[in-house]
Amino acid sequence: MPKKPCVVVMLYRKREGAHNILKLIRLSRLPRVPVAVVIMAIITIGVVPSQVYAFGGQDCNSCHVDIGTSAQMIINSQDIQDTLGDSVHRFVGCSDCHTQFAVGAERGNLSISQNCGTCHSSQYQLYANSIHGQPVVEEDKRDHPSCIDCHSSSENANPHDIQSVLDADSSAYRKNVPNTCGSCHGDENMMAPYDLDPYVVLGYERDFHGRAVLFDGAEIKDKMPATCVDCHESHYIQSSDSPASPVYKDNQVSTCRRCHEDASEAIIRGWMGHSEPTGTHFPVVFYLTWVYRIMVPSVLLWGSTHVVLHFVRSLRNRRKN
Amino acid sequence: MQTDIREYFLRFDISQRIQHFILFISFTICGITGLPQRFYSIEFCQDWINLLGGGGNVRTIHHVAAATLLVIGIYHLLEIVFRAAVLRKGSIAMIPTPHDAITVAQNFKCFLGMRSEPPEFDRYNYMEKMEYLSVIWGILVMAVTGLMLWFPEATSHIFPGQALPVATVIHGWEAILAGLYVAIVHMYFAHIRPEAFPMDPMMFDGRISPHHFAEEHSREFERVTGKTSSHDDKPTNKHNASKESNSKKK
Repeated sequence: MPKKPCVVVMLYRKREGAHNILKLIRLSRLPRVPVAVVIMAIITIGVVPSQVYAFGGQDCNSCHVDIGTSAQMIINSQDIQDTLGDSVHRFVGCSDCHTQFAVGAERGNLSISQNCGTCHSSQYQLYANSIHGQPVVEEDKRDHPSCIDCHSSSENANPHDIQSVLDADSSAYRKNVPNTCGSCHGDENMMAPYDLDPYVVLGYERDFHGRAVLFDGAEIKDKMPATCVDCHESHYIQSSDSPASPVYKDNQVSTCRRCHEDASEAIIRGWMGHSEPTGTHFPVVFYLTWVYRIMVPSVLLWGSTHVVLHFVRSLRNRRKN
Repeated sequence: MQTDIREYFLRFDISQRIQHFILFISFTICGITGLPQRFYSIEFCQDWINLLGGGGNVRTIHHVAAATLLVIGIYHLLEIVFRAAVLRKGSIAMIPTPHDAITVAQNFKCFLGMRSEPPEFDRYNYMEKMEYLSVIWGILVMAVTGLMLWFPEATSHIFPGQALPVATVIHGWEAILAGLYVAIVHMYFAHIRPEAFPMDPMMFDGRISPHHFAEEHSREFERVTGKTSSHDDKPTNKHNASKESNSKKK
């Protein structure tokens, strides 16, 4: 069964809107039961046609039902229906993306990005000038992310499974951003050719921002804990060595102040980056950690020695009496 | 050993007992909301935080409990000053003395069977002094570092930038130390030790029996009663400074 778009979630997100509607109903003194029936009917009608209109009302799946039309093109209609029916593109027709039917036409990062750019042109422009997109657009690099690598919620980057960034299941939803970035940036083998540190993902999770996103990244509120893209930008992401990047050394303070408005310039000197402290990188933190690593077990050893010896003596005394 | 439970000494007054109760509640809440944030990567901690309503909720609970803890700490210090300056009944019983060092050695000898009598502890033995002073010091350290983490923007104006990660390290490790010490040592002496199992009610009713008083705090017992601890346990009416009669009950 294809999943229905979650109306409850949509209503929840537009909680305030729903509140206003309820208030309006109460103020207008309409009879409640008929109004409830009408609202239920609207919701039902809103849910059911997502099936009908999937594939943009086109009839592609009358032929493409679990058949191989060619050796390369085995289309599992049910699979597409499962993902597309729940996707933000469920009202987009098949041929809006599948513009060419050339047999053997290769699906690559560039062709996919350009396809998306047909509608999402401003994002495409930003992406095409970013460190992720430039190598794709100029050289059709296969190990750089295209749109679907971040926006598809399937593990294999199924282009039919694009979710709205406001959908809590979407890989581009706030809470899931660190995981999405981390699926490449936490991978040693993928980062090795570009000399990037795969530890950054764990380093981020260790930081307050990372923990806060882990625990309440799903809430939408006025001040939300920073995910990767809040500091590094999303479509227009640049190398941190580039002056256009918000995390370039001269831009860091103003980037912190996007959220920490009242912070002084000193706040950036407290930023450990995504790396562990060492003898040269934040030595105070590094050596203090070692002080505690030695002190805490010593104090506990002192205490538990008393516990054990006291217990033995008590039992011995008891036996004596 | 049969003791006469109609007689007891008052070891902790009502103010101290209430303070301990608030300390115990707020410390526990701080621990069960703070430590899961420290050990965020453990699945159980994540489930626990989600059970409490997510990170925002947990932080709010943590802040409220921490503020309570800080208030009770400040109240305690004010009470010490008040007792000393106004009531002229200041106590230095918690200050470490050379006698403590002697009792450490005696205590270990006794543990190892090289000495038959337990050491003569005063009102507080060295472990109790250590724990008390650690709590005072701990509340101070946790309050300063905790407030820094609570208000990072203000901190950046007052302290050098590196202070924030340093505060994170201190706050996290002190929490581990305090949590484990209380869970192991305090729990043992208050609940598990055979003399007190399942619970030593002293911190809740404030009472200590003459027998335990004479055994565990023999120096104070002698000072208060004028008797040596090893013989007659019963307190006399002459030295009733810290004694109340409880003959109505039982």
